[in-house]
Amino acid sequence: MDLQLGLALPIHDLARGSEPKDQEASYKKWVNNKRCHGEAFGEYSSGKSQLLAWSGGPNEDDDPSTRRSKFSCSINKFSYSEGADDDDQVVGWPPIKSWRKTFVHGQRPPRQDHHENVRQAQKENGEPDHNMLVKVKMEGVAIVRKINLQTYRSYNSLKGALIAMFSRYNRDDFKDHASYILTYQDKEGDWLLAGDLPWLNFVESVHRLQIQRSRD
Amino acid sequence: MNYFPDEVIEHVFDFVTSNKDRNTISLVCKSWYRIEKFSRQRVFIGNCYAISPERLIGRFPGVKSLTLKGKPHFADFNLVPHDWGGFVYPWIEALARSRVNLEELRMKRMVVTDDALELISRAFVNFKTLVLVSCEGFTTDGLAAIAANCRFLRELDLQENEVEDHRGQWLNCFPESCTSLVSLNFACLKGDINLAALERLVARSPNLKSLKLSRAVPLDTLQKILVRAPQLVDLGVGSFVHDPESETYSKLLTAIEKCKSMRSLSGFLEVAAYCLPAIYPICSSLTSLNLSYAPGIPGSELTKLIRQCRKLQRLWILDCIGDKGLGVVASSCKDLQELRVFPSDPYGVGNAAVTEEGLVAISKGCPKLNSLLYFCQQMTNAALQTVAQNCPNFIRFRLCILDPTKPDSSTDQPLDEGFGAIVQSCKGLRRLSLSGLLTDQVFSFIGKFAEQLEMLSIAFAGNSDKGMLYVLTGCKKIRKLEIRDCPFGNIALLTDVGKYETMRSLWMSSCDVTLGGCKTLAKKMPRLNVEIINENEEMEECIDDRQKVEKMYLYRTLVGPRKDAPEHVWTL
Repeated sequence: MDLQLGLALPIHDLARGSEPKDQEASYKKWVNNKRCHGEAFGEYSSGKSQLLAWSGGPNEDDDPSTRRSKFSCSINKFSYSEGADDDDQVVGWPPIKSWRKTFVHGQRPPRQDHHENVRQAQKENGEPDHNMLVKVKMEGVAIVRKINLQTYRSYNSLKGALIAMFSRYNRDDFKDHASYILTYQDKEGDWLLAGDLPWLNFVESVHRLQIQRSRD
Repeated sequence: MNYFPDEVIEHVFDFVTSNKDRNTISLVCKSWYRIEKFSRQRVFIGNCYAISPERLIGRFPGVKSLTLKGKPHFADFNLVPHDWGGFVYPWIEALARSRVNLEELRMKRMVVTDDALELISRAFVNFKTLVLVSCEGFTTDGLAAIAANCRFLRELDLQENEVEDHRGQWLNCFPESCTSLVSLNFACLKGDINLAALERLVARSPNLKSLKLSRAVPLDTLQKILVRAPQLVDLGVGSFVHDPESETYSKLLTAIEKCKSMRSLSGFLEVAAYCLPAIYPICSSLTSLNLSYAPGIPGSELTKLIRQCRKLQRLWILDCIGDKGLGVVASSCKDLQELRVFPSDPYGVGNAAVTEEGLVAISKGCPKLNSLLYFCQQMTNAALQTVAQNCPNFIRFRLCILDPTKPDSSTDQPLDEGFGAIVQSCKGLRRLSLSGLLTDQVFSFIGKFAEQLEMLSIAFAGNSDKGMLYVLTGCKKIRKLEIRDCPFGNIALLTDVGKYETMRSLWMSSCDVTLGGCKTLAKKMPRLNVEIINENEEMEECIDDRQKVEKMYLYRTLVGPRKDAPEHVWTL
């Protein structure tokens, strides 16, 4: 079969035969032609408080003359880089059952509108961290790791995962989990023993974690 | 054959189990139609709005086993309003009124209320099997009714449902006389469970083969259950966290070793990686392993486990296993037929940990692979071509690149060639989901080569109406077509309107079809329901035919527009 693919796509509404150097630009233009919902999605989606909508808004590749629909949109802001805002997510994409998302990975954390309310689990650039990534240090190990607190439901499972994660640095038998102590630094900067607070309260107040073997 | 009495003919028909064949038999003559009609026991209704309960009962009065599907597939991804429809109560009410001797009911994406469950439990004396997949609308009170009243219950299977939990006493409602359970799956429940009641139930169910526990069932209860039920074939673990030095844990090890029939493992809804070695003894006989509900297991632990599962035929896993981990799967699981790799970061703000490399490795090591669902970071045409060559047996091929318009990551070309290779090589392909940068060309390949294709899911693909037309004209067996965010408009929709009566349904959202186009279609085809789903308040005021339609769902039906649609769903 004779393929008609040139370096530029046969793009709907655009002139054909763009220069090779326009290739990347023409993909992006094509992609910008997508119409978007521009629309509130609705409250029913299992209590999720977030709007999952196309973001309108400027983008360096956004060419107004190529818009096909009355809604503005740009897939380019549709990025899967870490720290991407809620507004950049597309409704129903990726196509994972919403049941699975909430059952396995928890409710999507609500977006923080006010800086004062920002949760403690933050990344260095100061943006709210939807994944609740927290730094963990194991005593005696130089490398600090990051974990996503959302994937754990209890102190035990958290501790177990940390021990397993660090076990490559530690030739001791890591099954002896009772001999490990988990401590955390809360938003006031105090270091406390993990385990006293109910799990959900703990998750909200933890800023960073440390795990160490007990000395007795 | 006509010289035999009806009972003899009926006995012969008993050997014909496929509904398709039975439909054919019905067409031979009036006498066969009548005999077949009264002896049909299993009925499958792929779209609950295609037919009415009254007509079902009239056509097959002897129905014992019914399967009903409700909402369109895209409802799984929140694209369909919550109240769209799919209510099962009218069906139950009609079946009860006509005194149908219903024994089995399987439902997918239906709205099931507690009233419906209660009616089922009281109206059908011989009720044996209830399977609910992706349903909603009920609470544990409804489950209590089923438990209490269905004296011969064999199967209660709840898969991925949205259930409101009214604090777990429903398990107590199984009477002491209930000893018939073969399969019990309540993994999707979120609330507490009466553990003692659960243990007693297992103890008095000698035929129990499949048991899937919820997160609320801790490891020590699991240990006690396994002691009572070493005959289990299929186990869903709830919570799997415990001190590995404890006596409970070593008792668990002993109990697991006695489970010689165990072939399928799932769950691990809460798990500490260091407890996983407890299941190593049964790994070598496992044929099915589902760890996709278990976040937080490091890739290294996953591979240690899978290395021992040499007989695995089905594997559902999270992408934290990585490309390297998939390489281990490829070298260990030579009999693998079905693989699903889910993103461990589904809110999309991370990077998927698998790429085309993992898939290529799998294709090299597992030539029997016939069913795939793969969420990945990137893909290349070359990889897809290799996969197509190594695995010509695909029946289901669903690829989801997290960035839906991403081109081939090494050449920046569209992925048309790659998917083209898949459809050309896999002559038995029945289901396909596309992603990545795709032009009309891929649809030309699909139309030309995908002769057995029954279901196609398209998102953010194509350039023009030609794309959709290639599929509609080329794929003779297509039954379900679902499209979102593609530049397909009225020309594609209206070129061959008769085609839709050969299909179950068509979904188009965020495409270029207009209200006028949909109205034209509805007018030409009275035996289709053309529904416009419209959550945008604006639309009510300006009903301009030139306006593009947000969501359209059309399906063939024998019973005209439905009467239970909510306000914002219009049937044209």
